[in-house]
Amino acid sequence: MPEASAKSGVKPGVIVRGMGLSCALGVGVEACFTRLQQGAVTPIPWTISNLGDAFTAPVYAVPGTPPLDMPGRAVALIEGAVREAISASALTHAEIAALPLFIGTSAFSLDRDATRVNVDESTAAIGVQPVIAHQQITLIVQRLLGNSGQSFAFQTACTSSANAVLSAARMIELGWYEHALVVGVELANLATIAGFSSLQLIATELKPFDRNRQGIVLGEGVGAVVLSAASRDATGLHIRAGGTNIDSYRVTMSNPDGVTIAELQQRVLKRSGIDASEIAGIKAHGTGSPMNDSGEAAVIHRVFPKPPPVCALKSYLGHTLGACGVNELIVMAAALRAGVFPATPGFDEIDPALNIVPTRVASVAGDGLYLLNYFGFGGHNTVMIVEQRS
Amino acid sequence: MRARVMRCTAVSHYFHRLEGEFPSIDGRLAAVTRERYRRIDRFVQLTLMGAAECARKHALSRDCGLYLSSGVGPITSNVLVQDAIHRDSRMPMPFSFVNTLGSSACYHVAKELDLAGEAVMVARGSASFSAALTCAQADLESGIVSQVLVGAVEECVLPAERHRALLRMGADVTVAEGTHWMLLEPDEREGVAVHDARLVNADFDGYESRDAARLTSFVAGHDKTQFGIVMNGPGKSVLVSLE
Repeated sequence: MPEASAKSGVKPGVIVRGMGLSCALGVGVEACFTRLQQGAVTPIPWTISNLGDAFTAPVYAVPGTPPLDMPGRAVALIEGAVREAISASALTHAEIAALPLFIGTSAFSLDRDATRVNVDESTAAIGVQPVIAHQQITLIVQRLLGNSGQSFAFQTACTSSANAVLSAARMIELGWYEHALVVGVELANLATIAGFSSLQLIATELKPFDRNRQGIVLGEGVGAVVLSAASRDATGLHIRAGGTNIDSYRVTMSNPDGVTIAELQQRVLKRSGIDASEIAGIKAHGTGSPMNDSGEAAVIHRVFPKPPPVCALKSYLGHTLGACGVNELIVMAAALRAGVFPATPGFDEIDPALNIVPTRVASVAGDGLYLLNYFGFGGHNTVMIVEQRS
Repeated sequence: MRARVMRCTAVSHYFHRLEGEFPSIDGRLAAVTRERYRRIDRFVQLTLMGAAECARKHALSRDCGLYLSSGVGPITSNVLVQDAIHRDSRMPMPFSFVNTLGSSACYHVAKELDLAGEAVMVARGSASFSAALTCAQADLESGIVSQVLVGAVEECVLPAERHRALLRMGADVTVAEGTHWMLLEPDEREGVAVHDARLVNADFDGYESRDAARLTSFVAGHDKTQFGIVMNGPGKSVLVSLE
């Protein structure tokens, strides 16, 4: 991003101005951060009995909300997170009405029973095509805000909302927009559970980088951030740099040797003028799947001769797929604002093949640069560098 | 808001309205790709064919950005997953599930064309191509890519009655599939906006990516190097003549 600034002669920073979050940690950013400090979250069991042999999959569900199959649940969760972010941003009515909207979700089409699970029936009554997820989400947000801004819906699997953040930040840095709203949405539904089960990727317990890790545990969550142009020295969390690429090793996994992701990280560091030694901590993608963690560990060792502290957040939220970009950004922002680098529940035993020991306990986090990793199906890799300034 | 013109260096356009059934595109795909593809769905086929036809005979920089757009996305794979779960009460096939993600189509293009730069799939209903052009222009203006490959792809669920029902189309609407691509590079020249009236083409009425179809069919019918794309407002792009 700095290259654009250099060309224009203007050096706007991009800051996280408002946040809203509903995930397995709780409802509301402060509630989520308070719960995070208490340790791992326990997923709820979801028994699927109508697809052949019955099986039970753990799901990190949003607590204290209507049951997973309750009509209107999706609308309530989306509106809640957006309302919190907008309120915290203190934008004017005119600014809210014109906000460009950047959506990130892995779902292009909704589960058919999403008419019960993911979509408020009332949205169908106002002319939406119920099969198209991003159109539904866009409509829900724009209707809530009385908004008529441009919309962009990113569909890059588990990097979707991370890419939405980066594109929004890039357009703000170019001066095209003053503010932007980014929303990541991923809700529990039968198609996602069944799909990942068919790929045999779901584990009973999430253990990032652990020797006994066996797979992912799905989570649901809606995160919303308002990004705004700000001076480079403004206090808060800045989106400093980022980038994406595709690893053509396999459609469902990146190369376990880490080469492609390492190329991306080095490219992003180089063009932003940041040396790897300046990174104070890494928020890993850390899915707990054998191959993801193996590849990510390889990347860390390739790029960082002396790796900084590494944490993984999915044993608090579950893997919130297309929403994890925004959700985990918000959790990191809340933690860094409080001067905390989070612990990584679920990690017990080092895997000698990985040689990564993520944080066992939370530690003090100072101002500085932090690197956030996100990887997804289709070989999509996204790296984001944020800077906390107090 | 200021952005440079993105000069068109290559274009591809394929559009077919359903008459009975869609023709096989296996041969046309094989003619422009290095690999022989199996286990890919129609959406990926259309994406690969369009992108490869556009890029054929052109040197792509390895950092070329890839911007795929679609209003409806890989709808057939989604329906296969839904049918498995709700109609047949069985687990979905793994590859059908993976193909429900638009990111799978980007993966195959990046692999086929050996692209290592920025790559996203983006949507905005019937203006999805415009959203993709905006993202591409932002990356060009930011200097993180030197060239962009921007496309729009739409496929149909068969039979057509089901497609119409899913998308709430009238019974008289003829459904269509297509793949539309532009290879663009920054240009310092000024452009003159091509009047919208020149782009109106009723052939594409009712088609989700009609904005892309109108642009690519028009440019494909002229000297493509004389045209470019430029932003004329937040999130809005227009075709310009560089003559």
